[in-house]
Amino acid sequence: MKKLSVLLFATVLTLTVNAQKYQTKTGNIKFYSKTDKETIKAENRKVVSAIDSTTGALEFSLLMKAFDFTNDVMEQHFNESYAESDKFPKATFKGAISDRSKVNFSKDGTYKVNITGKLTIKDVTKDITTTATIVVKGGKITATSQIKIKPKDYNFKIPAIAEKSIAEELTVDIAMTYTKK
Amino acid sequence: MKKIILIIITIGILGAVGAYLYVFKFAAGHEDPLKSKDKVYINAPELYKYFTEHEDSANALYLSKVISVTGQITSLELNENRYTIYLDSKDSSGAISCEMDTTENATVRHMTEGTNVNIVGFCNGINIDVSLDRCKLEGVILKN
Repeated sequence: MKKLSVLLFATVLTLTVNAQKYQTKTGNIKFYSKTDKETIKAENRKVVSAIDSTTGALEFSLLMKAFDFTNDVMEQHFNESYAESDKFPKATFKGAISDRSKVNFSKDGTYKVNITGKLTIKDVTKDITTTATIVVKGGKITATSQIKIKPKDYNFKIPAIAEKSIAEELTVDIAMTYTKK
Repeated sequence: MKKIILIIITIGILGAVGAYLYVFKFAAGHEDPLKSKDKVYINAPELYKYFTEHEDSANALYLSKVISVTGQITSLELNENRYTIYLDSKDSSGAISCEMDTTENATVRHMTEGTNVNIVGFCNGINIDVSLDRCKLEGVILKN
């Protein structure tokens, strides 16, 4: 029994030592909407994200109110009406690098990977599948990706009068620079 | 003739209202937090503690509000020409993150760790750190 406990402790210790977490609190997510009537851009520079290089697990979390819009009025409408940021202050993504074995986190290089996971905005969770580029350089990890999301899928309440100003599909650019935790 | 004058006056009034809305509402920059009359005054550890212990209540109280926070600088970060000042929350799990307005760059670049400051900005909530943005430096607290 004692032997088993020691073995179990050693296994847990090994797993803990091998687990490498990379983290950022200053990840960048931008989204764009372009219609004939209006171009909207917003940027969030305080995205919290973490990658576990052992399992490939990946997650991020952001504050909706931290989106900085080029147009103040649109920012106000976004927070008060469309995203209801007081009621739903955070958006999250939980997923993984589905082909984790492609990446050597201890060797400098550029790796193209697939990401799958669940994106939650306004308490609505949708599956997301996308590709990403991971660059390992000097102990730092940079990850970039682009996804498209439809505001209507996440219950954004856009009044008819503003529908022509907001694209049906938003382009979301994701850029994270992680350091070892 | 009267009808034409009435139409011209109506168009004139609508134009004036439109111009007012454009200049003062649509084209106006972000509100200056320093000029806000509804600031909430609090110190960094108290603000952090409240958010970590009662996030929903803290969100209801502080989201989008102008907060004047007092605290000690633990670090400064420059990212794409924007400074972020981190204030000590007295809790190792997070800090008060104040993303400074770029108009403050000339002053902020002379700030050093350990300095006690008053920073005023808009509260976005908590995401590990309590996040404030469009921040301006309200004052530096000198200690003997």
